[in-house]
Amino acid sequence: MISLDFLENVDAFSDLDDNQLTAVRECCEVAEFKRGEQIFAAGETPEYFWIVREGQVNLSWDLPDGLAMPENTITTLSQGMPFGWSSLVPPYKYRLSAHCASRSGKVIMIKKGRLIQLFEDDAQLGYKVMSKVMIVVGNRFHQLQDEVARRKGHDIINRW
Amino acid sequence: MSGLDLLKRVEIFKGLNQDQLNSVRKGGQEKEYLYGNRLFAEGEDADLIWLVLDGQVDLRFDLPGRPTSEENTVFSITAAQTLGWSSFVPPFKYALSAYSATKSCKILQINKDHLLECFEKDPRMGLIFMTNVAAIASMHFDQLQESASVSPPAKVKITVHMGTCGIAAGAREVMSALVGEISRSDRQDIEVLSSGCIGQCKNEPTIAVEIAGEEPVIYQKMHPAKMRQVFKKHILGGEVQEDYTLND
Repeated sequence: MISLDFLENVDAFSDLDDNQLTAVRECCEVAEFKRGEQIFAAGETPEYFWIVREGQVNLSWDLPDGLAMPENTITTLSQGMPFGWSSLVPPYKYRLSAHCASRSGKVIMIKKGRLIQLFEDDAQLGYKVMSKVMIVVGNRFHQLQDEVARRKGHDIINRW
Repeated sequence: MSGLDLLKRVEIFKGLNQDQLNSVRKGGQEKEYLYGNRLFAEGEDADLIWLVLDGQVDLRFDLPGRPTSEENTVFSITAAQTLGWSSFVPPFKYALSAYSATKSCKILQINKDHLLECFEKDPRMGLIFMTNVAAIASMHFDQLQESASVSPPAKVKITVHMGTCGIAAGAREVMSALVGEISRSDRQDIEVLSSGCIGQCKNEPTIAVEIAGEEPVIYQKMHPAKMRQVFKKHILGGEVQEDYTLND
């Protein structure tokens, strides 16, 4: 059984009250993976929103042969960290692939449809969760924007 | 068009009903900016959402000691689009500076705190708004990623010296051959310039090739066939054609 304490420490759910956390808990399933096993692939249409329960998960760029290479890893997630935000944001495609990075790993899966239904039933819950999603997407956008500005600025300064 | 009609068209307010749009409108204030006016500066506290009513706003990075310029633009925002998402993303500071890019630019400023109050009272409104903003940010992420990946990786400047001595020696024909090669290569990052005599009249036509990050190379006694070879081997292939260079 997943505890409310565990869910409360998940960033996406940190502003929810106990009733809302209980409603989220009822949507949770747990799956196990072994080291190197793929949890989902970039480009797939997301069915689930995920949280690391135990172990570690690598998010990486996809390779044509589906292998997870350490040099393509963007980030390593540990206990309590959510992933698969693309399940809640159009165009609803995973941008990165997820693989189990520890000897064994457990992940919490929340069906996208059930989560969206929760948002419909309790708009305050939806507002709180989507505000967190906005921060993740916004940060990712700002990082890319900074990189583009840095490159363009570098080109302008060093042009001649 | 009334204010509410316009708000209905705005991407981040899509899906809000009439009452919800009315409450958004109450927190708005219209302003007008002239070409080149700065709306906000990078690093300032982000406490407003800016809706472009008419005209265009450029989001630009500023370079120390240099005036702003269109080439510093990362994004352009036109009518019915918004800027200022940083208001909802820690550390709540504008990530770029915004400048009016048209003769006149009309803006509706909406206070972030006013929106948050609306969302507290009506969480469904907040849910719709946050979902819209996340979707738009995600779409712009893809656009920016695509445009960044197709940006030319290097800049090349080729100067053909076209003083009287150069022209008499055939600089026009060299220029013509160069322009033809560039056109066929489909390269977008090559700039062609002409200049006057460089004091090497006996070695004309001369050209200077400058590739970012490399030493400039001057070629002498050029003609169309040599120009085509230099273009293919040096500009495209990276191999300086030593036999043709000017060595003082």
